[in-house]
Amino acid sequence: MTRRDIISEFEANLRRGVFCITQCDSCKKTVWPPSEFCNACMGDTSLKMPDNMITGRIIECAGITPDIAHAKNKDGACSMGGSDASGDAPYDGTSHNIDRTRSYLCLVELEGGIRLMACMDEDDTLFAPPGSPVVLARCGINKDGSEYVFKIRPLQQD
Amino acid sequence: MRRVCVVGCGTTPFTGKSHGRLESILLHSVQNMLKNSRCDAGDVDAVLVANAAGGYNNNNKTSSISNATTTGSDTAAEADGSTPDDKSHMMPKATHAAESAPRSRPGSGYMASVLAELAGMRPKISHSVESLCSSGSNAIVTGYAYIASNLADVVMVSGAEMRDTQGRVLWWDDSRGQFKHPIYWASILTRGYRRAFGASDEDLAMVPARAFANARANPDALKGKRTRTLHDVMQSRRLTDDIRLLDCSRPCTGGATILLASEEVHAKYTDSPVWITGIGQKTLSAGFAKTQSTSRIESTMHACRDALRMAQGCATSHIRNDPDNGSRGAGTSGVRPIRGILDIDVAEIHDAFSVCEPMILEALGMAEFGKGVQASRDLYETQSRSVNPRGGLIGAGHPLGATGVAQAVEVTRQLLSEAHGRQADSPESGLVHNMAAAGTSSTVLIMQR
Repeated sequence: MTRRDIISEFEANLRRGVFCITQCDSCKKTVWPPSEFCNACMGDTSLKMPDNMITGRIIECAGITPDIAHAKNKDGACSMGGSDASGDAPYDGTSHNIDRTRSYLCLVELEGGIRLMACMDEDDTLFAPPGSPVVLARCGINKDGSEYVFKIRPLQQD
Repeated sequence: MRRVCVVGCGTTPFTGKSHGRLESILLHSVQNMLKNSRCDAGDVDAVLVANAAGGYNNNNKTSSISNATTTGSDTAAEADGSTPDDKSHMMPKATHAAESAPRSRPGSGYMASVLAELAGMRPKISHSVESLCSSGSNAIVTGYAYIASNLADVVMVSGAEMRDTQGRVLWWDDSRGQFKHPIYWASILTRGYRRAFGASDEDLAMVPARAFANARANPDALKGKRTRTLHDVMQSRRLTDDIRLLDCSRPCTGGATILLASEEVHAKYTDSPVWITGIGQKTLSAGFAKTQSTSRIESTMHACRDALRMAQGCATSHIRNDPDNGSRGAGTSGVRPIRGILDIDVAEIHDAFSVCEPMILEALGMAEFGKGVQASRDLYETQSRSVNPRGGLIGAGHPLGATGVAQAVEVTRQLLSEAHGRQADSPESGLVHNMAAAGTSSTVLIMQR
């Protein structure tokens, strides 16, 4: 029997802005990151689209300097490498373009225990302390890979 | 299980060069190892190459053709960490290849066999070992296992990386979203550590300040125009709320080689063996988001515990009733018995970012939890060479596949009192700590003379 390509389906959904998880057909465990087989019982998995909005809480949140992408050329990274180190960049990936509208990186735990590295919506301009309730505002795939954007969840939605 | 020791080592300078060939870097370090040992190429039973990109996809300008074909997507330019200017050099690829024809060969697989041929070796065993930033220590462990299990007597482990390696990024990890680069997990860990234990900017800045000072005495360290001071670190550009530019280690090009031998044959190669008496490894996950604690590096705690346990057992199982061994306590090789982490005299630890040092000191048990910053401050104020005497990853540079091997080379030199201007105070026991992908896995080696 040919199995569906779970990962491709996951990515296709994510590209459309739909966040899915994989769940084991046998033991019903949530499997994350998405995988064709369960990491508990090796059973086949299926994609599940959550019925409700995707909520969770912030585990950790860190601010990112908006112009991080330009640090390489403006600061001392090049000169640190000496005369033969033109273009030397730190081990931080800062030569990559980063969306300047994002200012907070966060580690979020969804209900069910899934953890994601995500960013806070640009409208949420204040630092969100650990434990803050959040809701997935949007997701997708951009040039750097998958993208998850959370918003602080209003209290009335609790 | 047979005992294993280091009988030779060699390194290359770490540089910012991104051109050249991986095999040339490897071969250079082999040449330096052979110069300093009594080993003949024909003696080597196994050649292991550590490279975070598996020999492929060293995404420097010389590898653009390979990138395009092996990634199979138009994201090759993003994947290589290149700047927009760098990307422009990659187009059109045919023109670029012609312009740089003498050095335009892409990275290659089968690198251990390539190295063996170039070095005139015909080993029984040759293969690469890849585990991102801890490829080097993993290759040493593999070599140890070959000797301990009697599959080989002499194993050469060579690690190398090109500056622009793709091994910097774990693209598999969808749980990291678009935040796949090291600075993002480092930001989360730094924030988590500071929230838990209250480390100040100055506390963390002492880590790179000492690293740069120690690197001054390391002739192989990635060179800067001048030594960076605490003030420089504090004034360097802030990249995130918690990390400045000089808090980050720098990827670079470099290589290191270490020669391992069995107890039975080691005397042919050296009069001063350094024994690997403890090994601990732990993998908790591949994805950073599975990390349960943002203030502790748990894989290191496991790995160190196991390494110490092995070292304790190693000393016990090899003690002879040999009165001539005198006060050192006396295994077959005369190594001092290890009772715990406090018996470690010198350590090379994986300070990829400033916050890693106090976190690792705590995970290793060299400081109580929450006291790692004070330990780092003490190291800075005393300008100690007991931790990262060669400058660590921040001071010396971080050629990923070479790092673990270079750390073991440094501990070897320290134990043999061959570290010259960066020599720690008469160490007898040393430790190597090498980790990968935000500490999702760790390797700890204990080495003794």
